[in-house]
Amino acid sequence: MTDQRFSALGKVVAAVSDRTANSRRVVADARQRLLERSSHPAARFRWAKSGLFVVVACVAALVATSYFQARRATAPVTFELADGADAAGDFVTAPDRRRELRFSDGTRIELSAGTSLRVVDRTSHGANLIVERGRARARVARQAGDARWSVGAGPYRVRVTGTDFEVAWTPELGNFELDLYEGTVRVSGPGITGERELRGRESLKLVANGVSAGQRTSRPSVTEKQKGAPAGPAPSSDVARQSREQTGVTGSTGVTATWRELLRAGQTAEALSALERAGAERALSTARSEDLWALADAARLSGRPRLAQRALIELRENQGAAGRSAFLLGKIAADQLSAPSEATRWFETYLRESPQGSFAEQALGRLVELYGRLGSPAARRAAQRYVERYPNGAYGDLARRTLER
Amino acid sequence: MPPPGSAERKDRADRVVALQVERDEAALVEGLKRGEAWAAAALFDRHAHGVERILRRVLGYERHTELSDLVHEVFVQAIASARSLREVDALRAWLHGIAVHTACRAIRYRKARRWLRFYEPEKLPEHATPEISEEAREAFTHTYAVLERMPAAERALFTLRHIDGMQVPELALSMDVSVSTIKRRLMKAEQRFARLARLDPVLCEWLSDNGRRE
Repeated sequence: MTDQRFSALGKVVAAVSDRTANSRRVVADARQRLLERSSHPAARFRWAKSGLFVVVACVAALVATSYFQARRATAPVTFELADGADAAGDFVTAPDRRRELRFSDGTRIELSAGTSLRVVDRTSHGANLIVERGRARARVARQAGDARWSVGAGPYRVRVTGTDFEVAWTPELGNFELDLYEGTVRVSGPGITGERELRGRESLKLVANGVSAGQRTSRPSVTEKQKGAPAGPAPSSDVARQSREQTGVTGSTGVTATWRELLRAGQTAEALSALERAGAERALSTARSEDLWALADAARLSGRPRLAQRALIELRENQGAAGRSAFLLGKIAADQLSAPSEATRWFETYLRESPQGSFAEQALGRLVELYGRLGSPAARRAAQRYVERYPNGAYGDLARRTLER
Repeated sequence: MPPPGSAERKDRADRVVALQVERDEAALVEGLKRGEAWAAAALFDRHAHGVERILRRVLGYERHTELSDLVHEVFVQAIASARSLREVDALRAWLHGIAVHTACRAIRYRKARRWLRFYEPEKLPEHATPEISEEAREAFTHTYAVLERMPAAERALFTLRHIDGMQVPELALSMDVSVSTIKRRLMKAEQRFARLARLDPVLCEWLSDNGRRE
């Protein structure tokens, strides 16, 4: 009995099998059940099993969280110095260089050179800090609504719940300064009736020692601050409102202005945060072309591909920016979003819009690479085009290998 | 042009960004790994008939409800384990491998519960199909009767090679073993089939030197 005899018998058997089979119905039944998998008894059982697992996992997570929260609730926050040195009790000085205190809840306090600070009254929700001299920047970690931190400086006291600010105190002159970068703080002390609330990017300068001249300014831009051009003085109680009116910084428009200027000042992270606070959709739709290009680059290079994509789409849709925008969208899709099919569409769009553009060689090369990765027959066509146009191009070897396959 | 920030404008921007385009094998595998519904449907539509054919070849007679259960089972397994697929090019072979394993499991399960049955599916009365000769029908019935007495793995190998006509390298790929291993196992399966077929007068005639030819 040879292989041929088995095969001859097999052909007859296969023919009978094919003629008697009801394949179309079998496949249709299976398809229907597959696409309604959740209603299938076996699938339901599997879902039930997964559901049970999820419930057990959730209960375990809840128990663990409660346990750790209970422990945390009773234990006061602790801190250490970032440079590894031992703090002398709760008193920390930075005589000639910056030093940082790291608290167990994630709060960071950075002392400028010449600053002395005392940590008092540590609790499970925060601590009271006293800046005895110098300048300290506090980045207070946001907790679940119950962070209780306060910073004292001379006769002034700053209450915070989760924010980023800088406090300076010069005891000889009685000068108190507060620069708020993010969040909200409440300040109390001489020259202030009750407590005064600061929000957003506002500054407060006060002079104690019997002199009650307060100065509270809204900081319209970083650049102005860097140039040392503070807003003019005003009576302390109405300073913020007047300052906003003078600089035209009101509502969301004011925040939009801030992200642009932060971006121009090279403060990318702050600019992107400010943009999102302002509501990216609205801010993008009112932004100018050069701001959108700058934003797209900043977002792309700082790992925010979706934001970059939105800025570029805005440029294409409403500013008529063809060509380069398509190339960048292709790069984002390919390199940051792992979407090779989408990327090929953008690179093709670029080549259609700018066939002689400065990125044409790169776009065509990327098409060879991406179509190849997708296993598409278009890879050969792209490779052929590439070799003809750029025989010595950077993707030349890849294109030739693609053609040889 | 719709006003900036309007819902229509946002929808349009979303449509531009989505750009769901070619859904080739690579995109299909990526979609499966991400658990996307279109990928499951596309996988089924592209490969269901191949899977059904493999199951039918290995199992022989099977009522269509059971066969449809098994086709469904193969795709459920494939979708659930898509993350284990390493090479896009191996998708078809990987799926066929799952089908073979599913068929073997079904055979073992059927044998294990045979004592509960009053009849065997292979002995069910057939409805008449005029275009099939009695001789061919007989060859079919007797072949699967012999295959039924073979171990599931050998049966699968023999049917895929000699009834489905699958080549040895493709078999090796589907069963995830080397070509030499497949050859060795196939030889063993052929020897067993030949030994059992000698006891069957119909198959003996088909496989003898003077036997019938189709």
